[in-house]
Amino acid sequence: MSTTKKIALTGVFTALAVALSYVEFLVPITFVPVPGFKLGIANLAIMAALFFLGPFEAAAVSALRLVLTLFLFSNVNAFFYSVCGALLSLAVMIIIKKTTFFSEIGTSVSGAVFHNIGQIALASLILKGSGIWYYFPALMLAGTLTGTVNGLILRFASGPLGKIFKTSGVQTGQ
Amino acid sequence: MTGRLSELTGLQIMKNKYLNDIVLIAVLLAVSLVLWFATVTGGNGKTGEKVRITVGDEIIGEYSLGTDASVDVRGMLTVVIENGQVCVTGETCRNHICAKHRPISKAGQTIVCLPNGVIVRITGNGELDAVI
Repeated sequence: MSTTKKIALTGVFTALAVALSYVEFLVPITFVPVPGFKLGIANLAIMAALFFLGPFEAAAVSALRLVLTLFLFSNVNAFFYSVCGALLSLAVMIIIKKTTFFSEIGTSVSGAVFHNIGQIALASLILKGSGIWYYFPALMLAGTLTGTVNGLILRFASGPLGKIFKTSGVQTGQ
Repeated sequence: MTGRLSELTGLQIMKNKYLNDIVLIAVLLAVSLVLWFATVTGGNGKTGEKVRITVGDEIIGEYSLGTDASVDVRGMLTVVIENGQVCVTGETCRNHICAKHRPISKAGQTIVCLPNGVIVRITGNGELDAVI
């Protein structure tokens, strides 16, 4: 894949990540009474970047998504939680992918669970108490389930997506 | 022939990958369920004695679980103690997760309002110092 194409696709995945974050912002899942619960669909775009482009591009998508969502519709409080979760999640996903021991699904699940761990670790630092870890089992369970679903989505999408990225040049006027 | 062979072994590795995924997911599910069970029964199922409300690292106050009360926490939310059960109302945060939390009554149980940094925790006999 040429550098130009990589840069362009990084942009596309960043746009996708921001759009997915916005969807999650518009439709918060509040019937699960656990603070910090999210579907984590923005991770789909980051994982797509990780699997199709590489760890550097995935990190770029993740960082740009964080900054863009902060300026567009998030707040500083949520931003720091996101940063903490995203850093840990991305690091773990890159390592898991490197081991080639798991597929997209395993990568997604570990990313989701470590996103939760990162956020809850920051929460326990900010709130200066271990009380928040009370929610950890519920968050971990939720993260495992949403991570599995996201991983399956990516698994089934990666076939057609891979074909598109491989065969298509940039086609104009169509 | 060799191409087909590597294809076959490739398939084998793929299969193993999915098997690994399933093992990973199963382990994570098991661990989280065990931890959940441990935290739910962490207070030994004993009824708590007091309700401790903290904002950040500051303890706002401790209230008896036995006496009905309604505590306003800096205009951010109201903690209602009624019939030995505690719930949160009138919260000013976005997702209202704290208000949707089922009422708590056992030692160790906690309601957190993350945006406001408020922790409502029941303390009492047999409570672990830290539930992890």
